[in-house]
Amino acid sequence: MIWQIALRNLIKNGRRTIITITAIGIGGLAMMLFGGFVTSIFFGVQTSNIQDQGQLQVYKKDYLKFGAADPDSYTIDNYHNAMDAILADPELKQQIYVITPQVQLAGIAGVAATDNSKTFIGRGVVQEDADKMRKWDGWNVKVETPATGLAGSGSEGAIVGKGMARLLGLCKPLNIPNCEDPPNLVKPLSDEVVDFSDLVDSDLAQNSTEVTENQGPQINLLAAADGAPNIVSVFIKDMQSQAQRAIDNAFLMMHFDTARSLLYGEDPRATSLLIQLNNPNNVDQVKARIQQIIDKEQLNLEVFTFSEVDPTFNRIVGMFSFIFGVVSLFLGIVIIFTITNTINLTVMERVNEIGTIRALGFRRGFVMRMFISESALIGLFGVIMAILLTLVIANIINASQISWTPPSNATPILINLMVLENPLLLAGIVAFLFSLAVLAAIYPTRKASRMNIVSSLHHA
Amino acid sequence: MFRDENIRDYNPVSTSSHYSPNQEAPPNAESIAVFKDVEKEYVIDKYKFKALKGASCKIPKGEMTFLFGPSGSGKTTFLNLLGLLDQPTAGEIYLMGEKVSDFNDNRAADFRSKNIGFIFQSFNLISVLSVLENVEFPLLHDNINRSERRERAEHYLEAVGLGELINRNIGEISGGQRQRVAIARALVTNPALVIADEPTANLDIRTSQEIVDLMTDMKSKFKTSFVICTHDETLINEGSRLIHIVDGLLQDTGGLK
Ligand SMILES: Nc1ncnc2c1ncn2[C@@H]1O[C@H](COP(=O)(O)OP(=O)(O)OP(=O)(O)O)[C@@H](O)[C@H]1O
Ligand SMILES: [Mg+2]
Repeated sequence: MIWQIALRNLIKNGRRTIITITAIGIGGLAMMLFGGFVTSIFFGVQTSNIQDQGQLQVYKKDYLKFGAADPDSYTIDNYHNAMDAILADPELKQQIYVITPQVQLAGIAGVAATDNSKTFIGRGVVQEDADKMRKWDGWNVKVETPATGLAGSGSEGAIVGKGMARLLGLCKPLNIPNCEDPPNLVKPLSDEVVDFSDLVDSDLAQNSTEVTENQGPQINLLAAADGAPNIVSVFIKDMQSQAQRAIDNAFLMMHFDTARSLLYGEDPRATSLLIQLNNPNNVDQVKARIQQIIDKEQLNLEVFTFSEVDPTFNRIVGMFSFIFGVVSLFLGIVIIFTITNTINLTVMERVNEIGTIRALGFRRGFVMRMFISESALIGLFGVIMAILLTLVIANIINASQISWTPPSNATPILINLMVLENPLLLAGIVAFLFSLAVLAAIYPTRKASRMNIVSSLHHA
Repeated sequence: MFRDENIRDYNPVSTSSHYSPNQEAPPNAESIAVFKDVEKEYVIDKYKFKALKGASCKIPKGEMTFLFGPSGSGKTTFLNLLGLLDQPTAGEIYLMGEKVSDFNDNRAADFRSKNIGFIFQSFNLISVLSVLENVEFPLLHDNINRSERRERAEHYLEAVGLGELINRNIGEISGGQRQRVAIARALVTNPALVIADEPTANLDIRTSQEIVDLMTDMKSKFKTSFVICTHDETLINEGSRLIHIVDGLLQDTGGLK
């Protein structure tokens, strides 16, 4: 009967009830939409990362600590061995979608036609593997990382960042929109410029002046491994913007074998192995299993998740979670005030009833239960309203194809709010709103239950 | 526990004693309530005001006791103490043999729920509940199941003559009918004592008399003790006990009209 009384009082004060429910509904809507947005960032940014880097990366032991200063001492010396050892495990073989070697390198890039040169930071990837990885969508979030662009380019094709293209004066040759070549192309752009044209193979150097349709502008890359400089020529197929300007300004992606041989000649060395799993949800088990095998085979390697290698993802998630927390806090405060106010009004209107109920022999706790039930019902209806509103509005937003560029992305992605896809968050928000409703009622109802019976009976 | 020799255990089966007219209640008569030098002092802005000055009396069991006196004489104060809604500033109150004047809030509530029914001047029904539900309401104490609650509530509503109106809303019945609902509600827990503070003040003369007659009937039917306060002497039925109160002082306690 407590619930009947609560419900009927809510109906009796219909307008006030609707306002309070709406406050919870709108607050819940905001939290759920934003939560859905954060969820889509969580899965979307992760998916982007996994498409590019895989879930797991194998490095030489201590590479992450010391490798940056001395990359050549921290290479995987026979990557075939490591790959074979890992794939020999039947369980892992099943879990692994792609396992592929990668070379990271840095050096100086010079445009053969203009003598214009600058430093580059590059990656050598196995094109077929990399393009296969970029199609991964284990959570079905429809995030797309564009293909490497290296397909069909032989071993000499390469891709540069947009900034890199601009700085090298490749805007026009590559037909890049909104891109302006430097005013003095023939002049070197930096002091680091090294004239190494005499080192280049003579026939390579000769066909370098013309931009051919198939090959693109020619670039000579100088890089040194183990103290020995080496040079290779590549043809820039295209540009791909990178998320961070500093990287974009130096980015170069090329074929694995080209990069590997530039640095290590015939040696089967790689900087890392990228491992992409079919199922994104048992990364930890697979990681442990791989480490086990590595240790058993005494390969002197280490396996990391992509976020251990690059904490950006965790920071992005951390930042949005923090914003989500702050927004929820303020929404919560507003909701608490609204509910407290409503319950206070209800209590004030029913002082005489409270006195009567107490006179009839009900304890204070009963009075509290009566009003908290009312508040709980408000919370329940508010939560239902929030869910319904969220379903409608999230669908409208998702259908309207709004795009944005996440901090870790170079290209904008469509906003796809993932509300129902994160039942845990949804349940959390529902529990949060509901407990707010109940908590907000505690103070006013406690006061109500402690009113002097005689004076409340005299209250008109 | 303190036990006055005149206070015996409450026994709902025993019939009420008979008194001869115009006599003090015999000292060994069963009492539902005993007041011993009860004082009630109100403090308003440091100014102390004694609304009840050393009240001592016995309220006989199974009878109709009328408390009458002019406005401001302390009737409501007296009933609040009797009904365990308030505590005296001095003296002792015994109800059904128990010293109740120093009960804490929960004990007082539990005692009220078992033993005391209330009837108020302005009916004090719960507006969102129907006639039947209002009468069922006090039974929420006892984990009685719904159907039995209904049955008992219907029984008392029939007793007060409202068997036909049980599903009406409170807003759809007259003042006299509301007070009948309140009487049914006061009786539904089968209390030993029903306290009514000016139960007819909001009713016209004819209805008032009907309500008093009904309470008299109920007293006999359910063997309940009633204490009713009023400032309208004409309502006091023949054979009722009288307590006259003036300026916080009890006079003529226990006499018969
Ligand atoms: N809570 C209170 N605080 C201060 N004084 C009070 C309080 N309640 C009652 N009084 C005073 O105590 C006296 C007795 O009041 P009480 O309500 O008992 O009178 P009453 O006989 O019921 O009067 P009425 O017939 O008007 O209801 C009055 O003078 C009143 O002003
Ligand atoms: Mg009064």
